Amino acid sequence: MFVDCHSLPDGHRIETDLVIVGAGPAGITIARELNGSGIRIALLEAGGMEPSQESQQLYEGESIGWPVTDLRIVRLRYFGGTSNHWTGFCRPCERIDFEARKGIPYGEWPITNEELDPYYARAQEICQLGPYEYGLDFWEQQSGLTRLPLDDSLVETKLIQYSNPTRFGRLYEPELDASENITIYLNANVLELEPDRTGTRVQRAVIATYQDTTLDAVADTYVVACGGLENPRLLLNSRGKTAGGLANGNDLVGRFFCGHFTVDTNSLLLGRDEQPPPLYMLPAVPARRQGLPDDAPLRLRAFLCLPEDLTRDEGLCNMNSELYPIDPWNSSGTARQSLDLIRENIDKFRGAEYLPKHLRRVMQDLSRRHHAEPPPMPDLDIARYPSNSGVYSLHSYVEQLPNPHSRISLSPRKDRFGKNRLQIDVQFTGAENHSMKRFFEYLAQAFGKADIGRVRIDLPHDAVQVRGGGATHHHGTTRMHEDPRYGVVDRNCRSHEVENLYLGGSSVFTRAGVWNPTLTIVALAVRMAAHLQENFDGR
Amino acid sequence: MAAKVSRRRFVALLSATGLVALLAEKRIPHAGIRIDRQAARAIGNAYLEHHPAEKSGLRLRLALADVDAQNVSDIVQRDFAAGRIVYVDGWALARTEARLCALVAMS
Repeated sequence: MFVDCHSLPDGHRIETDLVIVGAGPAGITIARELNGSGIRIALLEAGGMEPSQESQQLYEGESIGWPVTDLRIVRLRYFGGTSNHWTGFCRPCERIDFEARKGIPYGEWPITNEELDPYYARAQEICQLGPYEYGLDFWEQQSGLTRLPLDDSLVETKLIQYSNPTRFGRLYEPELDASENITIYLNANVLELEPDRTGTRVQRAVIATYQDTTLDAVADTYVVACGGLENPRLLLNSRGKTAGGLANGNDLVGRFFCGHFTVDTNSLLLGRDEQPPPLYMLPAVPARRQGLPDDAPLRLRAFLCLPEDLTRDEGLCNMNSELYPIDPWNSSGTARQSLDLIRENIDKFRGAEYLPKHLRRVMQDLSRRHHAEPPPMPDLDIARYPSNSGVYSLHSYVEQLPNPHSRISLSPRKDRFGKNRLQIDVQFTGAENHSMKRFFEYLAQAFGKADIGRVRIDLPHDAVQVRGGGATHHHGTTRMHEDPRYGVVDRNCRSHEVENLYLGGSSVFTRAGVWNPTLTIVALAVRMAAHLQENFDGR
Repeated sequence: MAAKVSRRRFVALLSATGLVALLAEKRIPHAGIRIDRQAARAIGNAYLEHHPAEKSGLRLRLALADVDAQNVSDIVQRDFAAGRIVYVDGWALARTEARLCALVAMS
């Protein structure tokens, strides 16, 4: 059932068993997994069913470190959360991402990826993907497409599956609406979680609406799942009893922010094959999509990565690279993706700053097609030649490593509810730049050794910082660690300090890894739901 | 022997390597063989700028003495496998490729 908090009287109290703050992929998944369990659930969504400026502007914040993608547009604050503009790339974290690693302090998860396996399999269904299978041999056989013949001791090919993408709000709304034990409260802005006298239990969530009424929710257990930036902001703003915020006795909430940064200044020139290697170009392959009609194609995309042994031996962070044809006439690139996004969201993003960037890309693409003239081409700047040159941009993602100085904190600026806005201070360890340099050197060696092509490396000393963009994924700000000195939550995503408080979403990642986080967010949500079910059953 | 081949032969040599993609006419609209040589010269000059000790036709020809049209591709691949890689304007090239271009630049 859906309830608009604007229809509730000022001072209304929601009494329930479980409060979930945030109706994005994590919150919706936890609620759905507990559908029919008999546990009374209040799923609190700060926005409405559609985007609105008054909700979205509450995501304003400031960046005081290395530049990040605009905080107002990188996340969405309405039912379904950021899944409403998710691109859909899915792959589980790698085994190596969970390990204690030489040269990567603070990086060891308290769980393994094998422990997550059954939950990943379930997440695969929830995200409407193909079979839970990411092996290259399997998909080569399935698709009839082959990897580039590179020395796999230098460079490996890995695949992602592409979700529909699943819009969690839109897709799962009917099921949630019909549920007998789940109530979704819209326009419910949780301002703070108030602890009891001991500070070891949350006793209520304070809620405000856009009509300036105040409500609260009282429950046995609370899950905060409002994203990698808002999770720490809510805890830090929950200062009723302790100045440092809730669950923050060790000053860890907000620290260890890790993003994914992109670098696309490097190029690959393929020497033999006139055509793009199809496996790397988002091919549709025959595979059963879970929860979709039989004829819905599953799209894959191949990425170039370093082998685990090499990554481990050299103490490098995780990186990958996808190939984008450099071709102003080729609308299968970013302009096409932008057009698809605009088509899908034309109404929703009207007035938002999200739209102009994509419109600009499409207009540029159309303009180039109309004039049909190549851009100026300096002698050696092969990277600017049109697509039939066989030139590709190596669009690369680099994992930001755990660093206590990279953090979310509270800005002195206040939002409309009088709560402090967030402040983000992205700091790199320095190992990211070194890792990228090694990555591209290995790529260059592998392509040359196979005589397939040549790589151009354009990587200034401070490449991540100067040329990088991104931080569109937000991890680590309430990280998971067995030791409360290094983590906010334990292996079950429960706060070390507040016994009835759980954190969901990418804020609990101990390390970011390099793959898009949504599949892992959903897997962890499924796992948390199983844990909560056990807890409630045991009472 | 590489030391005696003409410019045309150098282009043929280069075409046998991965540099074909960089130099061949079909990949650069409205550009003919002249452009190919320009590209080779540009690469060669950039290489020599960072390796001034090799700015000698004799030294380059000696370094390339074992290279011919039949084996150049293998030698280039072996350069990459052994890490004999040079960076010219950011492009990672086999040392043999860069030296061939340097010879074009000096011819």
